[in-house]
Amino acid sequence: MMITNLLTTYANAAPLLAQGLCMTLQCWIAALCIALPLGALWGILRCNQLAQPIVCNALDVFTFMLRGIPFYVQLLVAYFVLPALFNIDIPASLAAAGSLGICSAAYVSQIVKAGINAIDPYQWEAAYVLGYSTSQTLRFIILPQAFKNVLPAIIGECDQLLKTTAVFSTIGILDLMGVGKNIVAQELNPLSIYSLIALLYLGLSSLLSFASAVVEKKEQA
Amino acid sequence: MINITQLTKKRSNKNVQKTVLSNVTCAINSNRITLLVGPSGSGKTTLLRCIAGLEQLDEGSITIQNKPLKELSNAERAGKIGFVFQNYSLFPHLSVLENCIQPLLVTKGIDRQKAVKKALPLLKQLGIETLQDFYPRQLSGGQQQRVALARTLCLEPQAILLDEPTSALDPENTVILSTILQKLTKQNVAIIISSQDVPFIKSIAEKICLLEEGKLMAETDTPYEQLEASSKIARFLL
Repeated sequence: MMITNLLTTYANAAPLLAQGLCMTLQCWIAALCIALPLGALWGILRCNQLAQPIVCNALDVFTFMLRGIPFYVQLLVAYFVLPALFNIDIPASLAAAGSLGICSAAYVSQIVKAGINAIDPYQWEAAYVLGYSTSQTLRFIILPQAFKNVLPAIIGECDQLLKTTAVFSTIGILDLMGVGKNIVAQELNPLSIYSLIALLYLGLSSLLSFASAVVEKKEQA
Repeated sequence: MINITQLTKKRSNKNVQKTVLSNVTCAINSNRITLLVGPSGSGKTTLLRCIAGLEQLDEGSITIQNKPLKELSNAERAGKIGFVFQNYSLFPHLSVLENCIQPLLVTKGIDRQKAVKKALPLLKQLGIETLQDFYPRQLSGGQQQRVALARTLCLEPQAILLDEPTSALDPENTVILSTILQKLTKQNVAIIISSQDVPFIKSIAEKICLLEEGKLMAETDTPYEQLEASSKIARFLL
């Protein structure tokens, strides 16, 4: 009887949860599209070999703020404070993906910076004496090596980003968590719904952990 | 070929400034092997790095074929001066062949087929053609050095700088290297070597510059066997 009730609850919730899952994945991919290129650029500008004092100081202040303020607060600022300050309308999904992407870029930049700095500085000099320009050195020598160094950590950051999307429901986004909350409010069955949502997040996270393990294994080979 | 005039290089660490090279003036000609000798910290490597454009000069100038070094573009400089680092600095993510052809593809813009055609005879000449698909981590020190030399030679520089080239080589590889370098001078290439390996210096040097505490103390074009025993260079090499 209990199992039948559970299956009925899941069957009723499935279409909404699927929509929520789609929204979660859309927000996650949008945040990644901001975090990865922005973080990579930021990390490159911040590496030891290319560091310019003014740019570095500005980026360091920005990184300090983004890493020091909880993401939930940043989300509320993006959704409630910025529209009020500049008298503009920011859709919830844009505020969510934008704020998460920028916040995550600060973390990605630190990973990229560390990955580039870990490369033997003589590689820059070797490229220089062979006639490479700075951009050619980055493209052909430094970044291919740094990419290998940072890939596991970047996949870890992607995983973290996915799980952080769960707070988007607080500004009304109907992602997996938001849909789940609504279903719980209607069905009054938090245990089964939240357990299923937890399992779905765990499944997605496991896929990324698996990808990370494959990458690490490939690197060791 | 290379004229160094009144070259001064200083290094500062916190508030302490040290003169690494002081008023160094010398000329380096093609077709010969020039050895920079001197005790550790005398400025040999710094002088090589200055010639390669890796250091900003505090005073003085370096000209290559009457053209100031700082006026050369990256590609022009690489076509005139090659540098083989003490630790070889091969690109670890590229195979031996890729290490040699990538600079040609990237900086000279020639197509892959031509680059391979240029690199393979050089690898053969240096006895490493069978290693073309290996990665630097799979090679011995002597093999890595020959790859570094091949990579430099692919760009056909008119002068090649080698920093302590025998420091990680066994006697057999040292002889191989000497033979290769002597062959290169016959192709109108200037070779400039910093070394503390006295037998190697004695066997190969056609010109010797003695540096001490950043100053050029003596230079000679006389082969080692004909040096006066009382000369500074002969005494240093004793």
